[in-house]
Amino acid sequence: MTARLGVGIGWRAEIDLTIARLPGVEWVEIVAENVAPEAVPASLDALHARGVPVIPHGVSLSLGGTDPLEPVRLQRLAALAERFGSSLVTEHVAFCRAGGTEAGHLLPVPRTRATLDVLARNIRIAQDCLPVPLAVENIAALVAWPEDEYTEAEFLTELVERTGVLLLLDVANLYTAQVNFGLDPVATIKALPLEKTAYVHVAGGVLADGVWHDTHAHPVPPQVLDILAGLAARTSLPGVLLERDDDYPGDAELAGELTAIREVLNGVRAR
Amino acid sequence: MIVVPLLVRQLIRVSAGGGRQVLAGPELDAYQAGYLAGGAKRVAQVIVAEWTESGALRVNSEGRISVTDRVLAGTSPAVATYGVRLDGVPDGAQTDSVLKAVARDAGVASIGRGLRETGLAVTETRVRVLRLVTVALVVILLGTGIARFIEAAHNHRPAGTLTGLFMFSVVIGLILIVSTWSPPVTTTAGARYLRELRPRTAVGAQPAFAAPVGEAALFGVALLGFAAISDGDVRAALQAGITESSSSSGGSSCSSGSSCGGGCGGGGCGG
Repeated sequence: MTARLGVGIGWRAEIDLTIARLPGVEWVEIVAENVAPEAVPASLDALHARGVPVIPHGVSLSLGGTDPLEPVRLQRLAALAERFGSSLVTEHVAFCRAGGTEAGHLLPVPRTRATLDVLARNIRIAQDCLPVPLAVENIAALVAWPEDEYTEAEFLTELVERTGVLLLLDVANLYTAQVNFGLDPVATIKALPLEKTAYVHVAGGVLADGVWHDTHAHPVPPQVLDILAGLAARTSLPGVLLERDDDYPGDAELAGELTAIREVLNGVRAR
Repeated sequence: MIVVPLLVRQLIRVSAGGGRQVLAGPELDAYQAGYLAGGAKRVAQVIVAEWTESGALRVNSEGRISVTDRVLAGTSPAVATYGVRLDGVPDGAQTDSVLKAVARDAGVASIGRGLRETGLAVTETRVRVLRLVTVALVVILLGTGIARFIEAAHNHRPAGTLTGLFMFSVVIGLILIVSTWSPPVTTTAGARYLRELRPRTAVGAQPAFAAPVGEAALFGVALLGFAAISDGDVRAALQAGITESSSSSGGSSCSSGSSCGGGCGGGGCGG
């Protein structure tokens, strides 16, 4: 279990003034690829100076890829963690490049023993390079590999056991797996080593042609909040973060989504 | 000949009828006051300030403006009365680009047209007269100089002083011609209205704009531009978008701070 973070929101330059004024934002997460350690935006710096914790979140390390990890990406994550005194950094259980070709997207890895070996090796390399603990996130997938040998929970559990890596659980991605592959999020949560949870992602998406797209550009649906409630009922969550990346709503709507998250957490605590 | 264009510049501001009927009638609104104080671009500042304050637009600390609530924008008198269209606002662009787009709106043009019809703003015809007179006099002035050069050369007379005077005339003539591209906006009646407006709205000292919202604040923007906005962060953000380069129109979600890692291949975020 990591230090308590509380309820936060993904810091994005487009909404930096809004974030600075939203009530009750206890921490923020930054996309590591969008913030240069040597040129931190003034508004983010001001937020950090106010005592708001900043957690770097990488999206391009490609931990699940067979290509060697690129040192410059690891160095950037490390530099950001040191710049902000972050308690951890996070990445994804995914790959985004192979053979020198960039996918431009987080792609699911086959849940096989061979992939576990690759992921575990890369995670250990990353852990050795980073000054703070690493947490990895379950992604939202549109496709699954036919050769999957593990369930997502089994796969993540073994990864944690092999490397000691922390988990960043994305409940919106659990909902994506439920809609797109029929996976029961409750069963997944039950099978995960929840004591290793660093924090949780909450985000919105949209259903199109029977497929759930984790857009981060739509309101958080009640089903995602229900999964959050189920998760919070099983373990004390160090932090929960609202992700919004595009088609930003007004301040009131963003504040409302944060309030909804707080109400879910408070409701679970009150039981 | 140099003095005449300056006199014409003042003469075209003399109102037919003095615009008295307007001054004795209903008050002008903030958009009309803005037009008189700074033309179409000042009207655009009033509208952008109003939309930002209402939450219809959001500005970030770098002066990039995004559309957050089109319905809310539609409730503005700028839309309801003058038919200004939010559709023309480039989403994610710098303040400067947004101001230019709003200033070009047909609704804003109708504000200027109404003021010209009531004798508070200088008509296009008068501006054309100013340009014609200025260009004609400058051409005559320079033509006379050239004729004297020819005469001096023909009679083998020294032309040193003439050269100096001619160069001086060229510079002054160019300044006069260029100045017609920013003709006076207000007639004498329009200027009188603005003079009367300042004390009525307690404008003239920065603390007078302490009212953060509403008509009074908008009149402050009408008279002084964004400098009149009492919210320091919003004021600085809007001004940052003017002083910085506005060449980029922005607006692409692919270039935003997405945790999708540039995943613009469709299908949602994944992260």
